[in-house]
Amino acid sequence: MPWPLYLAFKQIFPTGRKFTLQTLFYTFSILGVAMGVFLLVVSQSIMSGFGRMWQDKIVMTGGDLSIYSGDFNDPLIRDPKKVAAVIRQQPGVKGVTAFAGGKGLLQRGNLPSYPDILALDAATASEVIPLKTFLIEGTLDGNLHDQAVILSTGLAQKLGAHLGDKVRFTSPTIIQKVNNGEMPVPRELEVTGIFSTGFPDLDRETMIISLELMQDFYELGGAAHGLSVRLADRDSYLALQKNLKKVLGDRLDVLTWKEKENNLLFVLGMERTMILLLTIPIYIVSGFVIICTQLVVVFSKTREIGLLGALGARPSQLALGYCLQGGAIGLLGAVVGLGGSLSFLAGKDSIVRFIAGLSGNKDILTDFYSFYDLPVHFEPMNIFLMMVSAVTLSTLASVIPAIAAALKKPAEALRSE
Amino acid sequence: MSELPVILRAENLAKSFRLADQSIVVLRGLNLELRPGDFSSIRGESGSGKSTLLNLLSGLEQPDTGGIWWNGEEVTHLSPSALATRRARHLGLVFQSYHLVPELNVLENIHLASRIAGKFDAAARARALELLRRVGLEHRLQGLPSRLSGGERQRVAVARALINQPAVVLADEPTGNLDEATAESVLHLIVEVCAEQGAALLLVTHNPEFASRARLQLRLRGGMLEPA
Repeated sequence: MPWPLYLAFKQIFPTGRKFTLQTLFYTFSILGVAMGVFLLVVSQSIMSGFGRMWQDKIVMTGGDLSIYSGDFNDPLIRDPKKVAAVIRQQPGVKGVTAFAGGKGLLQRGNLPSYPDILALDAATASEVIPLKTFLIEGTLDGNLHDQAVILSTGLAQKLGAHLGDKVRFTSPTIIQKVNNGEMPVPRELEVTGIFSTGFPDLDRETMIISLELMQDFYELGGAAHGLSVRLADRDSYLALQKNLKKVLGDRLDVLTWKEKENNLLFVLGMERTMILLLTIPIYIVSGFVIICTQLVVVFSKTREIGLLGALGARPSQLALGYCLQGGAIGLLGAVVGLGGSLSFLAGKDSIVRFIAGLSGNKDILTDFYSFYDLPVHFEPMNIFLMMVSAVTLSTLASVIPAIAAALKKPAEALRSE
Repeated sequence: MSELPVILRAENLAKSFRLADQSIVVLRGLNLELRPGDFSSIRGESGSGKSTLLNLLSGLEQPDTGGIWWNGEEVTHLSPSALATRRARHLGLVFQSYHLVPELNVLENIHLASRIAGKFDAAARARALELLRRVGLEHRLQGLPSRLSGGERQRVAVARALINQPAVVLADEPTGNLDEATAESVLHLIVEVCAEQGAALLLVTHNPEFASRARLQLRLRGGMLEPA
């Protein structure tokens, strides 16, 4: 080991000495860096977890890619089965299903609701959307037929509907029918399932029906509003988007899950950036702590610096020694901070429960934020960069003290009291 | 001895310091030659410039005028880095106040000098252990400086000065802080080990008896060296 590094470590961990004033300074510096790394890893891992959670939900409920009509005057895909067949032939495509969406009036007794409708092709829906995993009551087997409706938990709660109950659905096309002198009759549907995706927008007031039923309600003929595509490799969505655009031509738009939920992802990204910006000052403060510590050490060790010079240490080696010492403080702080953050995240649920229990609002917190499921996602490259930035900052913070050490004249330093 | 080539030569060295508005001349036209295996001593009153002379010879300070030659090559105006490298490889320094690194134990303090000279292999460690045995501290190699007596600390400092087998050892009042018996044993040790290694020893001391043991006995007076 080069002597500047050797001495740097020896000054932080003196041989045979349990505690010195210098050790106290170094400990505070290490804790400062550790605090910065801790907050950064915890906040970014949680934000990354939220991002990942939303990504999962977006992709699970809408597929990796969505195909829409590219014709502004005709927003329908007239031949969804033909388009699906073309898409299915492309390598990397795992499944395709057609869908339609809209609004309608749903009633149970005197309780009305105006839910979002998600209409899926019963034959192919499970290729893209894992409906089975969302169902909390009922089964899918043969239950997405033209007399059936699956309700979100929020909608079922609002209507007081249970499995097997009958509900009445009225399509918005009623206005057209009345204008044509017809007398529209609401369609009676049976509740065959209740689902929960964990995706608030979907769980609040959504009903799932078969695409055929929707085509009938909305008088779509054989058309659909779009197609959802599931990919074998989620990360290949950009390449597949490019390929599908080429294959399908201009008359159809191919959107990635990111483009589809652009606003939500932008907000999440902004939140993450803001938290990062709020955490960075802690890094900077820890840098100042290191500067102060190292300056105190340099001035309290003037005679030792003189001795090293007398023994043949070059000024550049003296400077290097203090920079390496800063780097070592950064590395130790980063390791302690990372260890602390991993421990915290491993026990986060217990910690949140404890804090929520103290406040007496445990249930509210759980209902409102789903806090017990605080999502965490580790991005190894990000964590590596946080560690590297901590070491770099600590090293840079030691540059001024290092220069001060290198500029000392050994003869004068040896004489100092 | 005098047939051996001069290893360290100082010629016409002059040095002065500024104190407030006054210029204090410490050395004026001083000449000195050291040869391998030489034992020279310098005595002088406090403030006569003995330590300054050693600092100039070791390159820790620059003379105002005059020059220093090492093995015939002038080194007076080498860069601080080059002078540091020369000190690490060829010079051994012993100070009155030991100057041991408190964070390192005895063995590590000695080994530090060889590390700075770029030697941190097993041979350097073996030499450190051999020197510790030679100075009678083989049983204290894990001891910290703070737990050693003055004599023991100076023995460690002597071992540190000799670990890189320097050609010249400059000892600045190495016995100044020691009692008579300890001072005697430390001086004996320095002289003996330097003689074994063939290193030139320049001893700065207040003690006339110790100074009288040198082959060349000098006195620093009025900024010049004269025979004692």
